[in-house]
Amino acid sequence: MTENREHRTYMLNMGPQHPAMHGVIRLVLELEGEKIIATEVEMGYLHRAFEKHAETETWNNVMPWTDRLNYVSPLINNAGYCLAVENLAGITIPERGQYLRVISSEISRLTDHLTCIGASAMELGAFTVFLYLIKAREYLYQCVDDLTGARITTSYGRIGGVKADMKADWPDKVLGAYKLVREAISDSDKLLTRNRIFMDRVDGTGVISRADALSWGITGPFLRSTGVPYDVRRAHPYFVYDKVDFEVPVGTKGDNFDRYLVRMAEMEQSMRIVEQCFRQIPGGKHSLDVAEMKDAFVYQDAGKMGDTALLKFYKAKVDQTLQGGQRGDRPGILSGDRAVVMPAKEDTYGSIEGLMNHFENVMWSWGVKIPAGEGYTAVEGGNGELGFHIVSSGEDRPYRVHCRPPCLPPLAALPQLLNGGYISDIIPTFGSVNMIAGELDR
Amino acid sequence: MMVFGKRQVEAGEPLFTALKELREEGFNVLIDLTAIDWSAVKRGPGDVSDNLKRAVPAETQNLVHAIGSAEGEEYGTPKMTVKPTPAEEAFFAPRPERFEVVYRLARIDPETGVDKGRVEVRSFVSEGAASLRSAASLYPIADWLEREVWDMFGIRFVDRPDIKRLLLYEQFVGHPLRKDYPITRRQPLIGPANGERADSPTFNLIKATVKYD
Repeated sequence: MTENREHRTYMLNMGPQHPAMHGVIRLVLELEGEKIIATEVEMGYLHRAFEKHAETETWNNVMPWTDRLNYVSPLINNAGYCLAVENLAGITIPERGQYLRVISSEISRLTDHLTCIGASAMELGAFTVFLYLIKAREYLYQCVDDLTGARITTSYGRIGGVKADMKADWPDKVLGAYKLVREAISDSDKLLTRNRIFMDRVDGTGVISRADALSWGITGPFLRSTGVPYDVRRAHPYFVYDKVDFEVPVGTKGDNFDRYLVRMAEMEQSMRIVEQCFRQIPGGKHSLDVAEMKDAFVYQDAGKMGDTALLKFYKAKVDQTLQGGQRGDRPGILSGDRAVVMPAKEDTYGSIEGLMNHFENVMWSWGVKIPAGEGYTAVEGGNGELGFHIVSSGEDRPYRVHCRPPCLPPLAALPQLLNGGYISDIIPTFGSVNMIAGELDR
Repeated sequence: MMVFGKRQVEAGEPLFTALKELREEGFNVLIDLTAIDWSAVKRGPGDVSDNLKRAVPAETQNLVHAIGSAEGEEYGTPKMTVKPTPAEEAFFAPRPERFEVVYRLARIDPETGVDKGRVEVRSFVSEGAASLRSAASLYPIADWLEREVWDMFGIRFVDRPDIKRLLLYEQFVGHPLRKDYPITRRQPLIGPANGERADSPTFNLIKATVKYD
């Protein structure tokens, strides 16, 4: 009894109901006093079978599932999935669409970082910061709402473009929101960065070395905090990231404080990117060009004569009056290629062509078809490299969709970060992982 | 699409050796490990019209137009002799085994953050064979990724401490990303086994080792 007492450890179950575990992660800790001897991470509480479901849906219908991957930056997931599918199909979307994707992605990155810093600050007791930053996030969510029609479940991407163009006054709205966001960030910076209580919790805790971070496959702000300036936007530029000027902030020590600073600096860079995009964005279509079109009567006559073999490669050009006279009211939501991009909801509900167009795109074996093959495409998500491995067998639905969740590697490395530390370090370290169960468990 | 050098190697020791060599060559990041179940590829590349119908690449579209105009009439019935593309030929070629595992490695310079090239190591695995050696000694993240592959596909890895499901619970029957696992199947959520109390600290602690079959 007495000889055991010196080395007695005990087990503590933390989560999934613990608030700091967000209800979805369970840590089984072996403790000696307050010191952590061993950690086991259990995940999967939010597993929704994203990859299995994607195999049963048409290419475009996977889009709403991608919203729910990283649900604080859904627009990046939308763009990443679309880019992966388009790369496989050999499609390049118009430049305006690419700019819109970059703008929406960067707004999402900002909301992601605001949530991460706000929530982890709150878990350390800084409730004011949480309120400031979530309020700032709300301004951005309103902008996202204006652009996509939804705050979180955006489904903004379409294969071949985006759902809708921005309205003319939207850039001003975003820039107005940025002013408020910058104020909130500056206030939070003053409240946190030299705050003794905050510093005691985050400085020097949860340290990971550069080599370890790489061998654990960690990317994103977590990797950059160790001083490796790896950023998919820089290393493998996609969309128009090579046309904008931005910095890749890095840390030095790889601790929680560095991760906080990296995220703070990245938010400013994100806003810079969007401001440049607003200056550079060209006019034109935001989605793919309209496919080869023939006048409806030519189309019809050919069909009557029995020449049907090539009809399906052309679209019927429908009379203006049939298309609906009120089109001028909604130029922003007209899409390009009817065969590839889903019609605007007004068309689906308002005209027979739109309804047919919509049905053709969502009916099984009728939707977009991607040539057989496979490929991996990654974009820089809020937490790092968000990769999609897409396999197509030439059918109307994916053969396989695999998502590389960027917050899985840091979570796998969590035992290494926590072991040897104290219970109180769990909260800042886990907060800096920015675990988003939607993308982690898929 | 990111460009990957490709290496197709035999499962088992050659795969591990290939990974080890690449690790020594400087591929310091295991970006991703996943698997594909090829058992549901049925349709051959013959059905060209279907493949061309939507979202066709520009060159294929031009091909169709060229055929149409060569016939001399805009809507004449052309002789559709479009051959499958090399990509399609490769895709529909028969595969030696049911499963394929894909390791994606990157060589990231710690100083500059430049990705100095990526490589994809692929290996066919037969159903039920314990022929894959764990890469966890080379890349620690492989531990969890292998657990996911085991969980979703039932592909076994040897030479590692234990394997347990990553996303699903231990009592789950089957491996859902296999193509023969029906999407509609429901499984009961299972309560504590052996009369164990649900609030006992060891309940649902992942059991030491899973017995294969």
